Amino acid sequence: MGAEENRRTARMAVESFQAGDLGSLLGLFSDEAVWRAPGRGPLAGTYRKENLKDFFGMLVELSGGTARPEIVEILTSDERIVWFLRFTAHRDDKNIDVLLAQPCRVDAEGKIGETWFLPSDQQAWDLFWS
Amino acid sequence: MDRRNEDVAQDFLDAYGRQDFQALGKLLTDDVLWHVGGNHPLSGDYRGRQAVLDYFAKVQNLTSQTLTLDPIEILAGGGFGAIFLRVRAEREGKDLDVTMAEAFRAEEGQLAEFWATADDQEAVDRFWS
Repeated sequence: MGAEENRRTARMAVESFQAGDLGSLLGLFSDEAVWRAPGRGPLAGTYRKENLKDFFGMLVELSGGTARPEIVEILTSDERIVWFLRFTAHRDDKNIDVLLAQPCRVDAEGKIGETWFLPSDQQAWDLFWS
Repeated sequence: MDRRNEDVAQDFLDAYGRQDFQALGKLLTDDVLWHVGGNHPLSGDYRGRQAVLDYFAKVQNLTSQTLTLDPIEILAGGGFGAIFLRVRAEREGKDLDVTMAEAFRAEEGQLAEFWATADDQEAVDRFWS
């Protein structure tokens, strides 16, 4: 896939999450996708295609639907996407507002493969979700 | 596309390859924040130019100057960029050979924030532990 197609995929991923359309979002991932979420909070771990919906589901549930990624910048090439997102959410009386970097590989069919979900302030991120 | 941060990435890789700490220092903001992923003794956040330079020096000392970075691809935009690279090093009879995904935020031609993470993070953890 070309850089422009990958840019569309990158936008669609964020827009699908914003719209609460997890089906469309998951459809953008390859069957071999690996989602790596470092840290120590309840969201930390390595997710595969079959349980990736759990990660997105937790974001939505734990934040009472307030979790919202905004695109700061998207970089793409023929084989890669890197998102820079501003992510906000609130829970009870806690708020989070962090920058996230998310590099990923895109396979030959234009599906998202391996990706790393990297908050700028990992500790704040872990505390927020704990 | 605005690719002005491509030079920052390239200059960083060149300076790192030469282990030119003066040039590296000029490519970092005063309060640069450097995230090193994984669960090994070097993992964590390094804040400030000197802390990051000390981290680079430590990496080279621990690997007897064997650590090399070979860029696979550089992506660059207006405020951000990314470097995908192959990292190889030797240490105490152990070999490291992994692909890293590195993303950065730049401010006026300097690295302000940097995230470094590996495709095989467990191999990296074993190497440094």
